[in-house]
Amino acid sequence: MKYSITHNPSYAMLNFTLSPGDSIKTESGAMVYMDEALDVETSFGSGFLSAISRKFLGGESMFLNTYTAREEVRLGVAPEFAGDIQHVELNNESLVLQKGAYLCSDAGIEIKTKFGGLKSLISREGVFLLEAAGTGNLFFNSYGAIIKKPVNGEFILDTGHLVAFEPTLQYKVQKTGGWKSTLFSGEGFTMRFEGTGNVWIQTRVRKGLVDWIMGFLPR
Amino acid sequence: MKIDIKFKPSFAQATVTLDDGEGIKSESGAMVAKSDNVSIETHKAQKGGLFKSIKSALLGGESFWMNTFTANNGSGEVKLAPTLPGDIAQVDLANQTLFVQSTGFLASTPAIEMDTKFQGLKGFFSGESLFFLKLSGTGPLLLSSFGGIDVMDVDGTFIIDTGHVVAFEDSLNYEVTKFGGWKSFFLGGEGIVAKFKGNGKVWIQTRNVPGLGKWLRSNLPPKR
Repeated sequence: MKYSITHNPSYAMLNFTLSPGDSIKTESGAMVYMDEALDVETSFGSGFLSAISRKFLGGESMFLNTYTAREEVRLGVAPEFAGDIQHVELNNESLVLQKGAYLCSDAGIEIKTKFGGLKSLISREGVFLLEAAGTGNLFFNSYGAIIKKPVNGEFILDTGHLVAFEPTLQYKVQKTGGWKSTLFSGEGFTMRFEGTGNVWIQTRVRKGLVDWIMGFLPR
Repeated sequence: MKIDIKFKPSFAQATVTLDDGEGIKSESGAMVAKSDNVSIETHKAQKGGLFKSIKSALLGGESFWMNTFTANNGSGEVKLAPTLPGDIAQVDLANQTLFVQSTGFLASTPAIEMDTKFQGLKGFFSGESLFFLKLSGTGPLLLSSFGGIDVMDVDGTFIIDTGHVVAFEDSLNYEVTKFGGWKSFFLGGEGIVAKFKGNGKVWIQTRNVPGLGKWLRSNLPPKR
């Protein structure tokens, strides 16, 4: 399997060249183009319950498509919304993803929803996260560009800018400064990471775009 | 004519430098700026009479009016940009025909002829416009897209999600077909795809407008 990511960061496109027998699993609706010598199979992923929770809690599609190459073929994959694509290789590891951030992966990687804990109840981004676990290539997407930030010690991030983080990091959701700043600074709640590991952040927040568009709509 | 495209792929803009007496035809509303010695003439989209222009406006998704910019008394420039955030690609036609999805036309040399082509019932099933613009002739042509533009070589059979097709050469045939087996068709989220056959080039866009619509609908409150 070979891949290239083009047109980033605004309208990133993931281009695969697959060898016979290679498989790629994608969220539904992500295929842009493909050669004909690919078999496609649509499934729940790892079981019905996990599919239901992925859809209703994790902001992902209930069904996943698995593409398997019969010959050397091209396959193009892109997310629905404007933004970037990032590659990570997992080696019997897991990665925590923001809701809706999963794009595609090797067939051996499992995607599950993960309860963010009571601490996430107070953040406006939602309580559930996704967890990708296994061995192989994983691709996730963002709104805006993606920046990888190695953390060693402490790091504070606006909740809306989170894309992914390694589970070696501990986090809690907290106020930004005092109550006055929390209510009036426009920053709301932040995530405080502690430990050693990588965090991937996105340079824009979807909620910010939605609020901006709402200002133009007739009432 | 010299064409320089900047700010790809998200907010592309084309700067067209015209020699004395040279012109470029663009869809209405595309002009960003022009030199003082570049004149603008607004005319019907198609030379072949009123009916053809009405047809391409109503059916082809293009504006009824087009503008031709012409440099007088020396060279001049005009800057052109599409409405949607996205890319611009230059294609140089050499006595060729290109089919362009209804909103994919930005500008061309006036020598390129424009017509609309009925896609038949396959357009109806694909959820896209029923018509393509048919552009024939020789000279530069500018395509615009939502998202980035890429060109793919087809030799044999190639499948593209219908919302991602910008343009294709007339050496290719296509049919609209369901995606994979029945299960993938109903549940796989791809629905209807275009299957191209033959030997030629296809231009694709890296995002599609129905996808944006779906995202907006799920994030904005319902109309009251």
